[in-house]
Amino acid sequence: MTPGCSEIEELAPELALGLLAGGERAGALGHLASCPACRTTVEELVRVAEALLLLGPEAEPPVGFEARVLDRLEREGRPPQPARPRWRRALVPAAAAAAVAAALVTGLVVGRSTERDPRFERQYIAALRTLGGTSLRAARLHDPGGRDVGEVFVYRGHPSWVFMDLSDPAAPSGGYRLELQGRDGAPVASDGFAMRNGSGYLGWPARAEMDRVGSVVVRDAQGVGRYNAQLPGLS
Amino acid sequence: MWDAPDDALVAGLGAGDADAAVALVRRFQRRIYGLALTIVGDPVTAEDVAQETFARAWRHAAAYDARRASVATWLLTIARNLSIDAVRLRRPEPLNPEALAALSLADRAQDPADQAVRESERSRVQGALARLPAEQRRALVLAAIGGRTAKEICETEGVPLGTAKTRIRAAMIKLRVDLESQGQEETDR
Ligand SMILES: [Zn+2]
Repeated sequence: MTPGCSEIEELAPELALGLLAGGERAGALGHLASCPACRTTVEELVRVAEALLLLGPEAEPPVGFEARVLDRLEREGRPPQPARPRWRRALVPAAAAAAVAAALVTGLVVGRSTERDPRFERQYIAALRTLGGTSLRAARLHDPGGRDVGEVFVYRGHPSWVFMDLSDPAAPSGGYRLELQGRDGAPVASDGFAMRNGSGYLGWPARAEMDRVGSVVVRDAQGVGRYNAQLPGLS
Repeated sequence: MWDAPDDALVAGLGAGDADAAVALVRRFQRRIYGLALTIVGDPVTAEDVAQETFARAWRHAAAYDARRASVATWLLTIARNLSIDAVRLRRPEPLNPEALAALSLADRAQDPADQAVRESERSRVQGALARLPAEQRRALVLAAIGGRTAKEICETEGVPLGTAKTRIRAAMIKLRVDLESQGQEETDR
């Protein structure tokens, strides 16, 4: 079900406060993709939520906290440079202007969605504003048991693209495919990606009519559907 | 390094500078841990959340954008979301809502680093919060600082769900208007 403006008005405070769970959050973000009025509302509430965090109480962390944190940072090593999605290579100069916009969105979501970086909502909103409210739909990926394993974004533009970020420690490594399906469940297009150490991601400039796409299925090397996501409808 | 501005520390963090990491942890650990403890309610989970907050900041420092949020806001938002996720996985002993609601108006220990700036911003928000009707203020503090959903607030406060939602929304809208008009006065001056 796609939430409309009245549902978003109802969800907006909790969305801005970071309190919405996966499914509701994805639905709300999907609506924001096509509704500038609701984006403005949420943006304003996000600012209020941020101001309130400054009033949070202070407390002395347990003894040795500082040393443990620094130890951990050292173990993580030097912070990684931002990932370069492989689809950038596939772009042709004619698509350059649109590619800049799409790259902006991808840059904002790469590696963040499964980690649920809190600035994501704001960046997403800012990106959509830059794009002029072009259709960008987001949905959570689930396994058959309903467990949340990641997020998928479907962007309609020139070029259109799909971005997926998946994390499931139980998934065997190997070649997987992401399949776009029409609202009737028929396959529309698909592309492969690799799963390693329980995580995989895909940035794909898909040549497909994105507005026809209603759901996404991720299949393993044997072609078995392991995860799926229902995209919010277009308003 | 110790009196470097917040954004300079984050820039140093993004470049893998260990001194910047030390300074950033010292400057923000009490606020990060304090917020985490408030939401999750137990010291072990709160420490996990606080550690993870700094690890995320370390990983994503290069993407930090000072035009969008202050460093304090950025870190506190990370800590809030991680805390809410941790609570979803394992709801601990319920925090006393009375204590939580009182928190926002209580004095706090001072950290000299950027005290003047922080205090002026804080006192603006605190003032705006104080002007809200008591039941709205309480619902908003439980949600925004305590990480409680409207459903949880309706259960602990013994009010209908719709009432809890309305209180949170009404409080946020009033606060927005109030903070905006204060900001306007400052630019007019
Ligand atoms: Zn709307």
